[in-house]
Parts: sequence; C-alpha cells; structure tokens
Amino acid sequence: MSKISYFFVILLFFLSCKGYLAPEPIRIVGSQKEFQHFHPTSNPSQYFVLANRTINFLNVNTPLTLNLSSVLPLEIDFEKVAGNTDTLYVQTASELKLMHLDANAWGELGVIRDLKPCDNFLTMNKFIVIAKGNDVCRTSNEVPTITVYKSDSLAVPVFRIVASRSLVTKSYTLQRYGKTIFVADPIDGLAIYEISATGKLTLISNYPQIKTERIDIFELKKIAVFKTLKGITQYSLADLKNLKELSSVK
Amino acid sequence: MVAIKNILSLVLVSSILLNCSKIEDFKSKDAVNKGESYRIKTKLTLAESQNYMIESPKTIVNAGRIFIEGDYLFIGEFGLGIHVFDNTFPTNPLPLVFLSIPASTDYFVKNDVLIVDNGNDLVSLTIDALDKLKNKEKTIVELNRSLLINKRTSEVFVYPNYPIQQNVYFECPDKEHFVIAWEKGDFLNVSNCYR
Repeated sequence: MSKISYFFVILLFFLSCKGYLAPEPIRIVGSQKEFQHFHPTSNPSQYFVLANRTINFLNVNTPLTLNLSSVLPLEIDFEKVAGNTDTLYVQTASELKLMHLDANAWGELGVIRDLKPCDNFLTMNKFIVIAKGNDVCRTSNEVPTITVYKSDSLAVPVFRIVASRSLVTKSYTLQRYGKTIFVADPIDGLAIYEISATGKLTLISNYPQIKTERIDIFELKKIAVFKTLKGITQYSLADLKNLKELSSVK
Repeated sequence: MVAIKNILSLVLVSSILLNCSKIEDFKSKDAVNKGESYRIKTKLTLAESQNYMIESPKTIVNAGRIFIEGDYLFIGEFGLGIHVFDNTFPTNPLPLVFLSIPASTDYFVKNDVLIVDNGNDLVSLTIDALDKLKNKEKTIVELNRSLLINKRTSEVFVYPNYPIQQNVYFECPDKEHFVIAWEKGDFLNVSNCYR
C-alpha cells in the first residue's frame, strides 16, 4: 500500500465518522435533580441542599455563611427528598425510603416500593401522598393514580394504603396547600383534591384551562403561581373552588 | 513488513466501521427517537460564568423556580439568572431588574440573601439593592450594575450540561464549559448524547 493510500485511510479514520472524537454518550433518563437543588424542610430554619449524591442541610438563619452539614453519612442515589432533621423521606429511582436521623445514628425505617423517578410524592402530617403515571421520563400507558399511605408509627412504620383513585390529570407536578393537594400537567390542566383527617381523597375542583408544568404555592400569601403557555400567572387561593387569576407576566 | 502494513490497514478500517455503527445503532434502535434534538447554542468558561450583573428587565424565555419573598416575585431563567418583579400588588407585578447569574439553575431567597447555584458552586449574594431600586433611591447605573457575592463554596454540585427536556438527543458537551443555552432542531447528525 502506498503512502498516499495510508494517508487517505488515516484521514478516513478521523473524518468519516463524525462521532469518533465525541465524548461518551450520556444517559440520564428521568432525573431532574441537577436542576433542583434547594428544597424547604419541615423545619423553617433549614433548607435541603441537594448535591449530586449527597443530601445537606443549610441553616437559613445564617445564609451568608453557607455552612452545609451532611444529612446522611453516605452517598445515596436519590431523586427527591422531604422531611426534616429527625425524619427524612428519600425517593430513589425505584422506591421511597423513610429514614431516621439523629446525631449518632441513622437508619432505614420503612419503604414504599415500585416507584419511578418521575413519580411525585409529598408528606402531609401522618400521610404520604404519591402521584404516579406520567410520561415525563418515558412514554407510559400507566393510568395516572394518586395514593395516600399512612403509618400509625414512624418508629416502626408499616405503610398502608388508606385511599387511592385515578387522576383526572397526569401528575406532572404535585404541590401541597394546607389540607389540599394540587396536581397538574400541561395538557389536562389542574385538579385540586382535599385529604380528610382519615385520608379520604375528594376532588374539590378541576381547572382544565390551567395547563401548567410547574406550580409554586406561597401559603402565607395565599397565592399560587403557575407556569403556563400564557406566561407566569398568579392566582389567589382564597377560594379553591373558584380560583381567581390575579395577573400574568411574560 | 507488507503483512504488518496490511494488518494495520485492516485494523484501521475495522475501527472506522465499528465506531460508526455503534453511534448509528444508538439512535436507530431507540423507539422514541423522533428526529428532534438539541445543539449547543451558548457555552461559557468558568471565568465567564462568574460575572454577575444587575441588568434591565428582560423577557422570560425558559422559566424555572418561582419564588415570592417580601414584595418581590422572583422567576428563574434557566442558565441565565433571575427576573425580579415588584410584586407589592400581585394584581399588577412590575418588572424591576434581571439578575444575571450565568450557569444557574436553582435558587431561593431568605432575608435579603439570594442562595443560588453557579456552575458547580454554591454562592450567596446580597440583594438589598432591590429595595433601593424599587423605592427609586438608586438606578441600575448608580449601583454600578454590580451584584456582590458574599460567599462561594466550590464544587458542591455537578452542573447539568444537558437540556432540561427529557427523552431527547443533544450535542455532547466538553468538560471545560458550562452550556447555558440549547437550540432545538434537526441536529441528529451532531447529537450523540441522550437523556
């Protein structure tokens, strides 16, 4: 083979396949955690700061110092967290774990299995609410459902289902407001459910026109802010059966 | 000698074929591949990502976290910073400023302090200047457009060098830059990463 032929073979090697020098493919199906670092805890003076595989607390009474304290003495592949300094709920790619924390020890107290990374959960006093069935991570034919779990003891939890029903929307986003929960998606709109003292779920209002992928609720101000096609819209929460639009910005 | 050269040539050509087929298989076997992908539009160096500014209000393009604190409505803009509105009257929020904090994805506000991610770092910024602007005691120019950093803790996070959209192909980034904007289109020929 001539030198010219060698030259063309080597040139072909580097140029013919554009992906050759590209970095290795990245696959992060489902996880949005690197876009969502900060979450309030149930302790008003602390915030969760979620890093890649570590969960930290930040004391918000002295925010300038940025003193982070590690919540768990180990790395964990979490998706979402909730709770406080004593009791921590950690959603992983496949389950929801309840963990006990104190200065000297930590441990896994209980678990709810069969979750996906894009399922949503929140805690409400003694209840855990899980909304499943959306196609955020991947196309899914799963019927969207909402389920309320209760455990009579957090020390030795046994989670039992106290209510479950199909959703009128997909659970793209899930938020709590007092004794109610807001579930919404950008196609079917918003639905508001009330959870009774026994955990019974009641649909109290449905707003198909509020098509949103993001809800932020500010309980003290009784305001909900939705990200919609129209822009960022503020609604008064004074009457949940008749949400009143306050304004919209773009 | 000739035999060695022939073997070398065979190895090179085989490498080309194997490498190409690996990338093509990656997409062709994917049932959700719809031909839509994202190309890198804007990327910043570390130094560029740490240039914080107070700017005039901007149009919201890709809203992230929303926060109401005091009289202010904060709306995150993925990768770019935070829009701030005077929300004294929620029925009529008024655009106040845009806080340019490059390579930021999430934040919260507490006691006039903005806690925000910035690339891989965690930073805190004092935002009491907002009161001066809202009360018209100062203008953006008078404030020298500066947004002062109080504290930085390095390497807390891993900056998401991928689009926020899921089930999409995107152009693989390098490790030296922070990608702050993606362009959506038919760029499958350069999009060899997926999420």
